[in-house]
Amino acid sequence: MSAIVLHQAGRRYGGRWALRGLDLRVPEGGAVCVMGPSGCGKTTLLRLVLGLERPDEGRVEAPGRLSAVFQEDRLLEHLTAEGNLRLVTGRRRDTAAAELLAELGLSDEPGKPVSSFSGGMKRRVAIARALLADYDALLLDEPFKGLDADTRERTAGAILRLNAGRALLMVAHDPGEARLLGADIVRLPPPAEGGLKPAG
Amino acid sequence: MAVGHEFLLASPLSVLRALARLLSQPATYLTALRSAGRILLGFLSAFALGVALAALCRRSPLVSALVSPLLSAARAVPVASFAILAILLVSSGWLSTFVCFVIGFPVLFGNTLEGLQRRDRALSEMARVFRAPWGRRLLYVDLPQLLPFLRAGAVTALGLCWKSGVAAEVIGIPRGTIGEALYSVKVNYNTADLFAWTVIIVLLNALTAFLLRRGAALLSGRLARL
Repeated sequence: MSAIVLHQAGRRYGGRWALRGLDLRVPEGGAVCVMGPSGCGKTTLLRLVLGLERPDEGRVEAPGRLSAVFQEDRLLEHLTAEGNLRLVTGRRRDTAAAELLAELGLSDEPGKPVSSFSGGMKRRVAIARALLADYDALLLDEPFKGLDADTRERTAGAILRLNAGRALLMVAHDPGEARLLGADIVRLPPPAEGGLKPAG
Repeated sequence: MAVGHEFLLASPLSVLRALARLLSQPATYLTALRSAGRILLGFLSAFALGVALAALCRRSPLVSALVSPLLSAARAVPVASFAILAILLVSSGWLSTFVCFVIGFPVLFGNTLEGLQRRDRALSEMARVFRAPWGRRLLYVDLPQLLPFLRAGAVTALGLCWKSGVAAEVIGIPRGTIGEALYSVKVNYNTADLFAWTVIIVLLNALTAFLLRRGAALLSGRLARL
């Protein structure tokens, strides 16, 4: 059974199609990585699945409970890492949050606002927030942006462990990131072309 | 020739003496409290309704379209016009409360609406995607962004409320208020007392503005420790 389904989905901004005629399925427990050149509609695809945009044509089906790492971190800069996680979890998962932050190498920063964090640290907070939410499918937009190779592997390990059994749809530029998460690659065509190319 | 004559303009020393005399009288504090209570009630009403209506306007373009011209007009109407009209509607005792509400409301409404409009849309989307409960969204996402606008609007409105509230009291002359004291100063041409009361009004405004800023800073600190 598929957790996420897009059937001939299209989204237009003004007179220009950002995405058109897209068929895509992500099975429960499966992982798909969408790749393609800039402007081909990868982020639009995630926004359609998240329900932040409505398709102008076709159909988009997704579980009611989604979690996401956005292209930008979208953190509450005045709060600590723990505070950012509490927006999603409340205080009921403080122990799990502390453990996950430690696993991602963020345990040395108690009490510091995330505004003082480096780009890579902020990215890991955004990933921790997404993993601690109650959800049925996880969407990741360039999740490993700004992370070094070791941190990527450690973070990917946490994602694979905590997301087990649930659908994962990600967007990336580097096929290595898809491999880290065991995701099947789907390539979107450049903006001017139509149709969807299978992975080569 | 009246230059140098205290009948027209009191010397700084006379003003200081008058201020010391007023501050030594318990009645002065009662008078100040009476005026402050009414003025602050008008300010707080303006704050509550300004914030509530701005939130409503943010959600409903129709309400916004209806309210905006009225508030633009309200900003341009002189305090005296409001006060004289209001005497017909409310007792002179509550005139300053009414005038403070009418003067403070557009400022607080405008600042709150601007704050709501300038919120980071990306953060609102994020909170929506994670299905954060309403209360948590307010405390974690919305209030920290809104607070600088609320603080600026409140400090401006508070200053206007003190000015217009006392002016309304001078027009309505409710018993035992700063306005009544200023009115009697006018009748007696007692400029030393006029300046002394003016200093008291400025001090009251500074004190309430300080408390307001301190409260906002405490709230801001509390929100950063969520």
